[in-house]
Amino acid sequence: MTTVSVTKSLVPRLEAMRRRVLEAPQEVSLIRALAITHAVKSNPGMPREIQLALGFRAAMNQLPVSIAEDERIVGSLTEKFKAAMLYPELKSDFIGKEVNNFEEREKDRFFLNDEEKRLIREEIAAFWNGKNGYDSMTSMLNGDTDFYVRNLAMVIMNDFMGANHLSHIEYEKVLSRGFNGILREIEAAVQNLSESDPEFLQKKNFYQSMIISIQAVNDYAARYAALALKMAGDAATAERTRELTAIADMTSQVPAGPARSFREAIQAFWFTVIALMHMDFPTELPYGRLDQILYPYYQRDLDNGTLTEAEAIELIEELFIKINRLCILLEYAGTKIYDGNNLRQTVTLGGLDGEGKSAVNPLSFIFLDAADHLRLIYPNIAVRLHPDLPEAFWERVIAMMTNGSNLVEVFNDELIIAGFIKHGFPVAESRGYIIGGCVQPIPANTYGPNCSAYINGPKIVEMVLNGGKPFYSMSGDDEDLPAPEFKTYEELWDAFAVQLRSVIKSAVDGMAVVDQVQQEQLPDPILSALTNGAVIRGKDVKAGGAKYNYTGISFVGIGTVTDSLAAIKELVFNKKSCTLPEMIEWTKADFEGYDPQRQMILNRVPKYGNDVPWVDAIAHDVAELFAGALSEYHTYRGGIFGCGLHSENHHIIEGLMVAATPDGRKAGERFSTGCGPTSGMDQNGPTATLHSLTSIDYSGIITGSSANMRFNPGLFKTADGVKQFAALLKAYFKLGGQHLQISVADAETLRDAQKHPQNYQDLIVRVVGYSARFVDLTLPLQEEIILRSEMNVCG
Amino acid sequence: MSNVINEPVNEANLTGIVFDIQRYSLGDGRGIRTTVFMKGCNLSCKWCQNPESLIMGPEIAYRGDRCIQCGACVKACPRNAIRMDGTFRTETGSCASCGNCAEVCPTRARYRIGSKYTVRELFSEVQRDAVFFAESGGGITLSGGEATIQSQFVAAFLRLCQNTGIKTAIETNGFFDRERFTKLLPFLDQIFFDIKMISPAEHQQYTGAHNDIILDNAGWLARRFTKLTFRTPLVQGMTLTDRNMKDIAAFLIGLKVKTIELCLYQNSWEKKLQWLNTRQEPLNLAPLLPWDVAGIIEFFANSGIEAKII
Repeated sequence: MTTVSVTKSLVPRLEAMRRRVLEAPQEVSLIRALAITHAVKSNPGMPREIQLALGFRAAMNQLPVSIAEDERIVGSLTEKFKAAMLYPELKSDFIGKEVNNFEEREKDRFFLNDEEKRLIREEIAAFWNGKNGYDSMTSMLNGDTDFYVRNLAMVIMNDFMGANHLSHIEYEKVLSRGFNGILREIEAAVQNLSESDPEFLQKKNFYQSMIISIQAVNDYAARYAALALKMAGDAATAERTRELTAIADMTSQVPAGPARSFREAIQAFWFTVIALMHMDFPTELPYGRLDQILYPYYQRDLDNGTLTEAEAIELIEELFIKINRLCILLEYAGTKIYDGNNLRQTVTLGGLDGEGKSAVNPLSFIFLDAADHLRLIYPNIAVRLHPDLPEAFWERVIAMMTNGSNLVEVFNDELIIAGFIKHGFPVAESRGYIIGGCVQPIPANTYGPNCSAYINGPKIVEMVLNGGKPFYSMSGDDEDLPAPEFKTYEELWDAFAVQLRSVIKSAVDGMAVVDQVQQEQLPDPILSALTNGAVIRGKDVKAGGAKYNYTGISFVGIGTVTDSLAAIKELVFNKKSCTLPEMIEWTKADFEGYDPQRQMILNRVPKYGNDVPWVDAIAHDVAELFAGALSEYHTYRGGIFGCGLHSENHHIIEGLMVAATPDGRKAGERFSTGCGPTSGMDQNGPTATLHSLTSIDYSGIITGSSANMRFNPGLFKTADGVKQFAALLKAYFKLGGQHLQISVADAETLRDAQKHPQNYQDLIVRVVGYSARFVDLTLPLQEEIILRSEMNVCG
Repeated sequence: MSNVINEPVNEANLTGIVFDIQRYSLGDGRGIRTTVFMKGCNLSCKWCQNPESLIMGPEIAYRGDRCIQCGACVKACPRNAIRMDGTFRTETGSCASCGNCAEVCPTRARYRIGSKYTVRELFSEVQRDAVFFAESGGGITLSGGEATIQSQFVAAFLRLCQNTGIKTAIETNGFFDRERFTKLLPFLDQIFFDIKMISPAEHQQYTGAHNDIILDNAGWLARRFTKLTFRTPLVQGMTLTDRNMKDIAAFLIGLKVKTIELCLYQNSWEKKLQWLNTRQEPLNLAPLLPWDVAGIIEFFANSGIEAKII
């Protein structure tokens, strides 16, 4: 294995492009939303998949094509430089209500003109309100499910916020066979369709929806070919003529036909991304294992002498810059906890191949180099690390983790593969997993929307301590019930288990409603054409067409729950220094008047994250209870439920609605993040923190976990310091860790960035599974990152 | 660990006084290490970075900045040694260091320095990071205070570490009994040995002890132990004088030693003084920075000695 030598900085063309992307304001494009709305409105009675396909076709047809002077890869998501599209068929109420405020929000502003605002209100929101997927879902919820949703004991609407894209997408199929190849496969399936098939009509409509959609993508690319040819004729210089002719040649070949070169492969990939993003809300669109997918084209071009390494890295850099032009519009409630990164679109690098050997190739390095040169927050870079990967690759990844770029997160390949196998996935599929969203592994040939729902762990503690009802509620359900009388810790634990199982059961019921609405109202012909199984089965992925299905539900706040149970165990049952009713009284009073008691809990009761075995055992038990309870159910699409310990920003949102907890957390404060300890509570250094994290059996956490740490940059100033971090990471994986991302930044710098944001526009940190510009974060998240225990040299 | 159980009962049950255990310690030897700070010292250097290590018995410290004035300590004290006069300071004459106040303090404003560990307890604590030691080539480092004072305990602990494959190191001020130290040698992988000053009078003045034994020990050890690293703390006007640097270089040359590690003076220890009941005085010196001592590095290099700042 040789590492690839590359240019150390961007070429001027890309530097200018990068700067423009950083400075461009966010706008909104209405082409898609208007086209979809029009198609649904004007074709009543038609199956939804056909309506959406027609709307998609109209949008692709109306999307203007243009080729900028500095582009080698063409195709723009919208008619504007940097604009979000709207997906009113998923959720529309906020679009109409908030349209006047999009440009005045504190964070994450979008700019629109008055006509656009009118169209949104009158044409888009007015039509969809009451009949979008989200509204349909909420109207169908009842009983416990409605109660728990209303009180934020669980969140189940994520699939209406863009998490529904989490699929192992077969981009390589577009590259190797072209969309025409996929069309032929669909047409063959149509030929074989028998009228005696009880699902004849549904299947026929499904195939038709894919055919319409794919042809629309091909037509869109053909318009680029025509434009390039025309521009080539008018070009001022011979070089520009040559360049435009090449673009014409390229776009008349892909994505309809197979890619003949590395550049065509990237072009075909990019057109596919644009298509996927127009079809369905794409917050968590995974890019897959691009180092694997693109490698055959890279190698062939290199062998032919038609590509150099420097040209290859330039093309990848251009692709990455284009990805940074994508944006997603969130509703205002979302921006209040804005985490500076709405686009959880991830590239997966490294890992094992299907045979169980190292899949690392020169492109794996080139992708890291490109990200390092650009220092932009998109795409998210997920690296699969396995002991069998070449040492040079480990070193390059460690260098990226410790050099302050804060762009890379790493995954324990051995553990994740074993976890999927344990849960019944075949070996090849398990080895082929990608990372979708921020930290969620998805095996090959699988539709896996796995950040679909979140269970609010601390809310369960609150309810257990208040007779099974919320003490704190935004919907008038709060009650102040007498303290329960648990005689032993075991009785408390049993009550916790009963309460958790009750919420899980309701979450499963809720997810069935979500999935039914997704199937009926939100089919996705493009995603289905690119997910293995759907064409053969004649079923949209939303209807269970994928070869494998799984849905992920995450447990939020495991550190807060562990510390709460530990505090009760220690003070009430072991030391008997207070009674349970007393402790409950403190939490119900939000510790007002009980500061010494709160301080005692904060300072004198051991916390998760410090390698205290009896405390860590509680975290282990909570995770096991959760995984076990969830494993009793199947999803609407017939797959398994996977459990996760990733929180995105739910530890902040959900924290707002939970009363004070026995760990000393005050009402409304955030919880612990991901699978980690409460920020600042791990005080014994990184080895102790990692020991605590690995008390959890992550082979049962197949939907992924998020482990965040912050290191002082001073630690990595010497080669020795970097070497020790490599050892730390390897040992952590040996202990059974699943995920790690670190932010290399000292508290002083971050405090200064809060005061002088203008000086820190480029300061990137890792948030809860992705990178973000520190200055873009809202205050609670900035504080959380600063409060993360700073790992520094001891002694 | 089964090895622990196989140890002679009396050895595993020996006790020592430890005042801190720091994991992920990177400056005290190879790899990722856990540094164990033993309490008690036979020198009293004016620049001592760990003033809480000087006496061997347990101490009760008081950090006013953490105190919320809840009064729990006052109630807990059997001797009425803490007065609610606004300062909450302990009257040292009355205090018997029983630790009841630390036990009830909710914020750790009052805390005990120095805990008794058996060899087995200490070992079970440090072996938790064995996987990190193995991956990084690290291990444990004994520091202090002066660890060799508790030599029986230390020997038993080091033996246990080495028997279980954990690499060991010790930091010593060199003021040890040679016969007792000999018993530690087989269980040590690395020794860091402080040479503070060569002038006997100045050594006496700044550390409270004569240096003849220390310098003798240095020579003795250099002849029989290869993984020996000499270290000098650089303190302006005390150890860091032209003459002392020259003397140290000459001394090392005499021992045929070619390397030295220099520890730059840090002043963060001074803030600890107000929390302790100690006679040690602040020095009011600025911390040293690497470029302050560039000339020293060059001087050593010219003498054929590679000096490294740590």
